[in-house]
Amino acid sequence: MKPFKLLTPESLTQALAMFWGSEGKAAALGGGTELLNLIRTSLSDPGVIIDLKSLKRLRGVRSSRSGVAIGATTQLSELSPQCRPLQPFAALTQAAAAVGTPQIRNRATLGGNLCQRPRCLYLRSGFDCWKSGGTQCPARHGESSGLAILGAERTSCLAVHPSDPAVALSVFDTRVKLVSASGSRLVPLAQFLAPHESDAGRDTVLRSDELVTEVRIASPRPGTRSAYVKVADRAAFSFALASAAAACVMDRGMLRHVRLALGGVAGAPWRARVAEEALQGRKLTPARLESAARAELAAARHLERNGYKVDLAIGALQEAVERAVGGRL
Amino acid sequence: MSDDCAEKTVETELEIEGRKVKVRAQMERQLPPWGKTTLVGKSLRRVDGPDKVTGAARYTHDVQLPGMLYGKVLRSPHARARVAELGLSAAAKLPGVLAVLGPGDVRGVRLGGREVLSAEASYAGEEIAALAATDEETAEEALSLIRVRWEPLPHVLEPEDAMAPGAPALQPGGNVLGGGFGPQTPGKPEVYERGDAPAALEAAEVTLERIYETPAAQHACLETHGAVAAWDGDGLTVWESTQGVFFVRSALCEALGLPASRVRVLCPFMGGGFGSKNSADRYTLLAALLARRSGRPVRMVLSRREDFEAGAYRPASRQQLAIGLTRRGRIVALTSRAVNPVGSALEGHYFGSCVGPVQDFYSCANVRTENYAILTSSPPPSAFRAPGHVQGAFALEQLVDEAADELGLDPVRLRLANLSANDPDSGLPYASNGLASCLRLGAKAIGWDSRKPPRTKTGRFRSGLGVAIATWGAGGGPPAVAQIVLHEDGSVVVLTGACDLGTGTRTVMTQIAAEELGVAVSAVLVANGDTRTTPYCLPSFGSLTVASTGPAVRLAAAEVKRQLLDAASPILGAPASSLLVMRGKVRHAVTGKSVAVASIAASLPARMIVGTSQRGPNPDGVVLASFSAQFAQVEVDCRFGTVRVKRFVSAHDCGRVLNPATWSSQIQGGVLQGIGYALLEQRTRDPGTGRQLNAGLLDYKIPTVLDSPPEIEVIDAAPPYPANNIGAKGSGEPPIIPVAAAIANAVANATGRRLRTAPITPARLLAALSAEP
Ligand SMILES: Cc1cc2nc3c(=O)[nH]c(=O)nc-3n(C[C@H](O)[C@H](O)[C@H](O)COP(=O)(O)OP(=O)(O)OC[C@H]3O[C@@H](n4cnc5c(N)ncnc54)[C@H](O)[C@@H]3O)c2cc1C
Ligand code: SF4
Repeated sequence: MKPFKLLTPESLTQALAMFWGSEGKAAALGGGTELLNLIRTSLSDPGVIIDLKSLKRLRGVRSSRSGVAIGATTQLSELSPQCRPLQPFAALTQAAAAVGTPQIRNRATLGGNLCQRPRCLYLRSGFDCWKSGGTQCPARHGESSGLAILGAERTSCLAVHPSDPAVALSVFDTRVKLVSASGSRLVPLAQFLAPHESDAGRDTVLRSDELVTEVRIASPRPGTRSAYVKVADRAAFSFALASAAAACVMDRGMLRHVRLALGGVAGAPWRARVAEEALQGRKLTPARLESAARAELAAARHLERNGYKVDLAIGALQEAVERAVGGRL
Repeated sequence: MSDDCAEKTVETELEIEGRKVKVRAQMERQLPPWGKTTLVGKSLRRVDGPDKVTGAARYTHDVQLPGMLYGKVLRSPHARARVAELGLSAAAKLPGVLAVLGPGDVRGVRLGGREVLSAEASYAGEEIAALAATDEETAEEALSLIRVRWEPLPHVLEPEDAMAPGAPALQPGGNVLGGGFGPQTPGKPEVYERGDAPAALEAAEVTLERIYETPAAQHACLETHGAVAAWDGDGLTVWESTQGVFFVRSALCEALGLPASRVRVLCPFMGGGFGSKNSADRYTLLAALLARRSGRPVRMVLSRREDFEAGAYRPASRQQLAIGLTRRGRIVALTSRAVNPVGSALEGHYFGSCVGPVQDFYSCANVRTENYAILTSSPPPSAFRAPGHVQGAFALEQLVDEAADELGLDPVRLRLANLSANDPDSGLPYASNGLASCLRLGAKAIGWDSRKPPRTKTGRFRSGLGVAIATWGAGGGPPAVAQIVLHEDGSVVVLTGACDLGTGTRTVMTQIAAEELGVAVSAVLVANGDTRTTPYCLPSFGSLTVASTGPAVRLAAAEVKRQLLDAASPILGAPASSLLVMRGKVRHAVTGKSVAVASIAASLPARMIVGTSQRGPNPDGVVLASFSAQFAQVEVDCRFGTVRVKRFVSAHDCGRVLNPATWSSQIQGGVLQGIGYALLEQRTRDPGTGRQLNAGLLDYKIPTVLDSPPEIEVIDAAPPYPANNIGAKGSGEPPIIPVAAAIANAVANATGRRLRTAPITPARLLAALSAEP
């Protein structure tokens, strides 16, 4: 592990000044569950690490008139169903609880979770590829079982987005607050996780002098119920093979409103708009739900070893809706 | 030991990891079986438990010596390549680096027939250069300064490619070898034959032929491989995380040309081995060589990534089996053609022999097995808990179930009907055999009678029951020497070379010694795993530690007791034969007159009593084996292709259970490891470069506690075992053998689909579910 300098700012202003002053060489430190692994495997080499954990303003869940704001350094274990302001966002608390292990959840922050790098086995085993600054993808024709099945024709990197919480956040109106010494911006989550394709090495639109300070979720429509479903081979300590989140408003058997997202199948959480359209405003039946899920996956393209994800995604979408609407299907 | 047998030695046989070997043994004094015991058979708490939970126990990873350096290894990124140029000088010049070694510096230092550093890599991860520095970070930085010009050579990763005409020859003799242990019959498989299997298959009323595949699985020991080496003049001391200090010592002596008296190897505590730590490895020698060059102690502990990448694994297998039966379910023929890709294994390496179960699980007159070991550009495999049998049982025990389905017979009944009273290979009787009781008791415990055929199951969640069995040579045997010292205050030290892999060896030896001597557990200390101070024994492998060292400890205790009673006899004014030892006192059996053990010892001219004994021969004319039958209840989620093991019952015949608590944990650990093998674990590599892709505990998926059924029920189904003086057989390996097959059989019972490739992943299960049944 390469040596680095650890800075502990006392205020956000001071932290931002430190970033400003370190000319792109600094990394923010949340729980360190990802950053330290990146450094250890030479995927990141920041000369300076700026520890955000002491900044009280960045931590905790606050409700506001328009929704909730979750501080970037809030630990995933704090995003629990016991946290009152989060009760309208069951999908999020379920996704947070599905992350890794209790040890990881106690340490990992939400900000860090949204900034994590892909878990592609090639990237993590030191192969040269788009995401490590190269110009090739060795996974595409190799061990492809973890790779994306949706939207992959548009990207050079086929790694899936690893985050569980990001999938759940995608069925709400979620914006990420980015702050730098020169100002701040509120970026919709989908946009935050979609750097320009010419920037294949990056995972977010975060600039090197910027920090995530907050994740804001707008209050859902009244009556919204949501759920998150994660499919993994191992019962814990595993990233999703596929996952799905659903937020639904049911009204006398009718799906008045629905938002769906898939995880583990694309380079970013995948809004399942085709399925949403097929379900929205209609009576919810098992057959309609299944055909909507299948329609969503009709666009899937698979490689040699990741075809099974199509079935998992279809099943996960159905299950997320089933759980969200409870016994009403 | 009485004099008349001290001189006599005889030839005897013992079975190690499925391989029978002949050794010489000294006749031992016959001890009657224990009557009622007070300590043996009780769940005594682990004697080293407090040291482990408080961190006082010092593992190899914990060893810190003054001036100690940190060693690191440069490994090949290529599956096969020649080192055309090696630039070590920049690394050597880095401040803090005190020794650097390349292949040229250690020429002639060999381990397992291979140079300790290679100028030609035969797998990704092979050791090319090594260095030692004052701290780990400096050592890592120095590694990055080494310049290598590689000349890649053609490589082959898959056995089919290695066998194909025109494949690059990885060794001069070609890529095809006989399976088993060590190269045999180059170019041809290892063949085993009894009766006439092809003819019997041809004539059989019912035949089935199927192909089964198993993955390369890794040990993933909690304590990664590692050693610390320190020289004192021309003497070498090595702490090694090993299963066998004496094997490490002989490897070091041979490679470095040192006498055994000058090499001390220690392993008081270790964090798991499972067959991957039976002897010294290259890192051990490199630690010693770097320590010699630098004049400082060197710690060489593999990182988790290295432990996976360069390390040991259970070789994969592709097994084509055929079974012939009568309509009524009598097995008349069995054949297996097995292909084991064994990487770049050389002589001395374990080659993978997965044909054992076909030869020895069932009574069958006509058996033929062909076993191929195919060289590939991968690391050498190693023994792994019941090597071969785990792969073989996955195949055979599914085939037997498939035959039961075909014949419409109950799988438990079919097995019971085909069990063998005698060892099917030699025809000799077993010294004891509780396999039928294992099947019956296990079936009862899991509720086998409620098992329903798959056609009755519909819906998303489907439950199924499965069974599988194991037979495993686990009788132990010589050499194993034990020494017991009774000190002047009555306290006792038991000296044994046996390493405690975390299984409870120290605890069980304490129980045996205290039981025989009649002293309190608290009076006994077991000191073990030190080639300088403890006597010789084999490594803790082949399920043999209890059955080898246990009887030697009892004999040594009996010898100490004999001397003690002789010394007490004049003090109590009674013949020794009328005395016994109880609760730390020597007592007259009738009058109850007694004297403390401590005061007898203190009155001796030597102020101590020493008893040394060795494990005697195994009885002739019988076969020593442990048995098990396991039952799994699974629930398959047909939507996601996932399998949950809901209940697991593991019934065993391992002879006498010396400590139910440590015994159960041993079995539960084996079952968990088997669940991983069945459902999760496989070494994954890039098909292009051969580099491992999941060299870490996140991506190499061993089961977590949430993957375990709520309870793994353990049943003792052992009849008395007369073949050694403690009545115990081995139980280390049997618990992993049938697990994967029992689970696959349960999945088949739940879904009507056969998963013939392990691990049973969601991808495989979904594919099977969507295919025609
Ligand atoms: C064993 C293991 C299992 C896991 N399993 C899962 C899983 O199942 N599901 C899942 O979703 N995730 C999983 N994770 C990922 C885990 O959730 C992330 O590592 C964690 O959320 C990152 O948070 P952190 O606070 O530790 O981030 P850090 O490691 O501190 O930082 C991660 C990255 O984000 C940057 N960063 C952190 N905070 C900020 C900020 N406020 N502003 C700007 N940049 C920032 C850092 O510079 C760094 O680049 C797993 C991780 C491990 C190690
Ligand atoms: S999928 Fe992406 S991260 Fe993986 S090897 Fe290809 S480019 Fe790299």
